[in-house]
Amino acid sequence: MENNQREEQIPQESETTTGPSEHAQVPTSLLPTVLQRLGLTPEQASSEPSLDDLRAQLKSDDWFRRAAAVRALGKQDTAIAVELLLAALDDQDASVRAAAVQALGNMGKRIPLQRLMVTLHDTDWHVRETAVFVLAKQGPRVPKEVVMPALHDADAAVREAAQFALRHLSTEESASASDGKLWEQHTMQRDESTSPAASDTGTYLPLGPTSGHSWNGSGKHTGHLQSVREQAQAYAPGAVHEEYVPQEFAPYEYSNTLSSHGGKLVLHRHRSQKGWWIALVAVAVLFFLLGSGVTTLLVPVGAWIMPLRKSEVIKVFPTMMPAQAPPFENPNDAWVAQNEIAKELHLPPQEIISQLKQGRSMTAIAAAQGVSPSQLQGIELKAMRDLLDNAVKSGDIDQQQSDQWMQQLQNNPSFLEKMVMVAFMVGSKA
Amino acid sequence: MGDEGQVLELLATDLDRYFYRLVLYAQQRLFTFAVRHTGNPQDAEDIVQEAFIRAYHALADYPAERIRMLKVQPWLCKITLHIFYRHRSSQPQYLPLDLSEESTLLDLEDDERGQPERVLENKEDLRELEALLAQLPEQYRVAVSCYYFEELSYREIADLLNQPIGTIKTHVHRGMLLLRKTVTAQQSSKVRGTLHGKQPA
Repeated sequence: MENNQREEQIPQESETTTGPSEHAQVPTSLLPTVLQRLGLTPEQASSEPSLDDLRAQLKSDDWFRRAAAVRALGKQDTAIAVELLLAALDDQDASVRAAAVQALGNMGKRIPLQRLMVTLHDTDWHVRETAVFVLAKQGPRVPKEVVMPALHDADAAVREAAQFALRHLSTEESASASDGKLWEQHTMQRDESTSPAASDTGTYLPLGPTSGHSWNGSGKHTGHLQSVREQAQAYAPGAVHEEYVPQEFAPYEYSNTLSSHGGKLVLHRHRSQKGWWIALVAVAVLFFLLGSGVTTLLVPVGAWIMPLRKSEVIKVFPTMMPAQAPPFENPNDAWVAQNEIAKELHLPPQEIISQLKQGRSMTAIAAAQGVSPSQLQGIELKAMRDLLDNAVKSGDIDQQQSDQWMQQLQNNPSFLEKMVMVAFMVGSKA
Repeated sequence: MGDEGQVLELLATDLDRYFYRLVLYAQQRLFTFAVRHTGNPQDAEDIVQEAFIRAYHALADYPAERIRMLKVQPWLCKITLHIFYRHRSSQPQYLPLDLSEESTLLDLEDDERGQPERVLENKEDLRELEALLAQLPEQYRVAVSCYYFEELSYREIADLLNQPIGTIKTHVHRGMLLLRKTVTAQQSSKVRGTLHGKQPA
């Protein structure tokens, strides 16, 4: 940073611009205070803070200090930094969360894309906007359909960001197969990576020349795709379209074919009703063949064995149930999710259990606490991810199984709700 | 390229180095905007400080090309309003003007359109007008302030507030009716006071 040069360029107070209401003079302390809080004054020489310093700074009461710490962490290419940044995604301040999204987005293939995708549904417009930019610049790892719902976000800035991001995604797809190469041309020059592209300045969608092509998640065009045309038409001037509700998940299913950290999002179209019926029949036949002589099923095995009737298992675990025993029934793991969800709902876990036993749904309990269904879904997903991570650490399941469970929880909200209930009810029996 | 374009170009090139240019470029309008909503300069200063710090962090999240496309004024107003709403929740409220359908404040004729400054005769009264503006119900205050003082378009205000354009137009119109009526009432009151003062004891 060339602070000295900037200092020379800062004009004197008399040179500041004046507005329509001259009587409301800007306090002379405003500019110095802003620059000082941002660490941009010449006195605040750029020194690399230690990880311990940043860790302490993340606990500051001042949001701008936490945001600065997050940005500094983004420049540290360590696993600890990634973990701290992931935690910062849950910061109470939107600017800190957005900074964490941005920092994680620059960390390459180690970042958990699914965790970033949740931020597309953040309550704050700037976090959603940043998530759009970050996901869009991941190149072929993220299908453009992931970003498309943001075209209908309730906030104009998010919609504009989605237009921008999709336009550049289209440019990238048609021009180069290299990950984020062109996008990087648009990143800040202060990173001294590349020079900004000179093309496309100031023009908007709809969707550019490649908008009529589909994206199959592997980086190859497969021809015209109806949904893309629909998106383009929906955004055409004068078109009547429903306003996007940011809290709702898009009607696509995402799966992480590698690990929770890194990997590529693979997008499938919604399965048809016919597909569901076939899957249901297949599972029914499987159970019939395997369990014809069994009246109860013990899941899982261990000191905390809780016998479930076969009918209960089928009822609780729909057709997408993976082969392994569910970790949500382990009281030690379930406790993690219980506490996380209870904390977010500002209720003691026992109160939630009590209400669930009275037949209330998690959605109803959350609504009474002023938490929307979409917010609840985000809370539950995070809690279940932590539960699964805990189960992996304790050796109850392996990472691949954890990923399978997480994938199914994300794909099926009703399955997620049921598993959360299982986690609470199992805990209550322990 | 205008002043705004130059500032954006510099910000897109080197945010840390040129961020002060954005502060210098926008601080007066933003501070005035904040004063209109808070009613006092102290709160306005706090809000504008935070707005610029949040603006810096937001710009740091943007690709350079996005920065170049930015419409600075509505964008900064949006950030400022969000901060104002948060601050307001922890502070005492202004007593709003009566905006009910039955209120006679809204009974003025519709043909008295014009800039709010023109409602008053001279520049000194502008301070008084802004004090009145700060007492308007929130939805009218924001709409009138953005439309007349910040000179944002209806579309820009609608995008800023995530409301339909029709609602914004209504709020601007009703806000102006309330302002005019209040100003007229105050001027009548002053005249009466002056006349009373001139009467012999």
